Amino acid sequence: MSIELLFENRKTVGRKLWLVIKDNGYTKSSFSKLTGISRPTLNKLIDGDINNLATFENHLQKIFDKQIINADKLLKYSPKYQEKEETKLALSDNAPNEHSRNSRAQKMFDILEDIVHLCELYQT
Amino acid sequence: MSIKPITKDCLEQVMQQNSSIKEQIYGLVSDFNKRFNKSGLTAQEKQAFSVLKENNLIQIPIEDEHWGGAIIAKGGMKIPVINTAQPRVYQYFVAWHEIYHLLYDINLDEKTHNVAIDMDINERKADYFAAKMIFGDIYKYYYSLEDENVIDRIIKCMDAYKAPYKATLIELYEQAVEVYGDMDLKHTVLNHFDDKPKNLEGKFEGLELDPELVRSSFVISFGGLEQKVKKAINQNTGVSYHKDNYEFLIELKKEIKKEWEDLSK
Repeated sequence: MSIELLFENRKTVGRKLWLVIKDNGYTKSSFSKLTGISRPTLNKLIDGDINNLATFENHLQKIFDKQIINADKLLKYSPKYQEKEETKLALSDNAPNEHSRNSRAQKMFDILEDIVHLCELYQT
Repeated sequence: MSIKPITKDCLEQVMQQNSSIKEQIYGLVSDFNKRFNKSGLTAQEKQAFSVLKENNLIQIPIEDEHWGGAIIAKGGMKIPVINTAQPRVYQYFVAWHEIYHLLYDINLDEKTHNVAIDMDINERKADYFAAKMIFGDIYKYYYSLEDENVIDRIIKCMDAYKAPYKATLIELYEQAVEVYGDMDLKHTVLNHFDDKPKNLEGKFEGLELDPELVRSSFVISFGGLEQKVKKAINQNTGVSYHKDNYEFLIELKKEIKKEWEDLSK
């Protein structure tokens, strides 16, 4: 599988990568630590938002180096389990429209996302 | 969802909304008291947290004054979250608000898709449910206080019912207008509605009340997740990622603690 083809299909690659991460029991943060890809970059990779071929290749290579999956299998990857229902939220949030979260709050939301993902993995 | 803050200008509209959902919410309060207060807890805030903890409540301090909590519904599970950086008094109200979403909000039911729901009234229902779980006869309590100062009386009501400033005034307004026809108190509430005291801690101390109620608790809890991961480690000794996940979870806890050490001092 050529890197150009993966790059052309980067949105699909991102979605598949997220399934690989979940199926292997990782969270975004633990996967980020394992591969050495920063958390914001991993988010971009999953969202298919890396628009530079060299950067895209560089980061995917870090994943392939860890032998979690290879280039041939990534694009064709089917999840082990049916993808779960989309997240629904009921928020207690009185923020005015112009309010923006500070970086410490954003960090906590990222951590919360990791905890929720672990809850998903370990729910009984 | 984001809820439009309530000001004195929209208080009458809030009353009309409350009136339209009153019967339904009283039914839910009755249902809750029959089905969920199994331990006979009398402290309302303990009762709320007890129900949420049975549903794997996550408590985490988030430095955002507007974000009180959430129910995250995903793949058949519903996880309540409370922001413990907010003063306890808000946490208690949010706890009841989230219980409404957890137990009675059909919008979060996984089998319910594309429900044509008015989110504004849905949030009002959650707030009204919270108020009805928290308050007793606040009107009588307010008049039982001898303080001349209205703000002092309101603060003492906040302390007695462990309720936030505006929620206290909304309940007082509703009882004054709808139950007792007390127009003087109605105008008093309106006059003070948008003037929440800036230094509530100082006010509590000045009135010889426990200021802990208006302070953050900074509790960090992952709702029993650590125990579940530990159990998975013990039951699946050949699987390495459970151990990785456990270590990762401990790291997350350390990270949160580190972030909040300075702020909580």
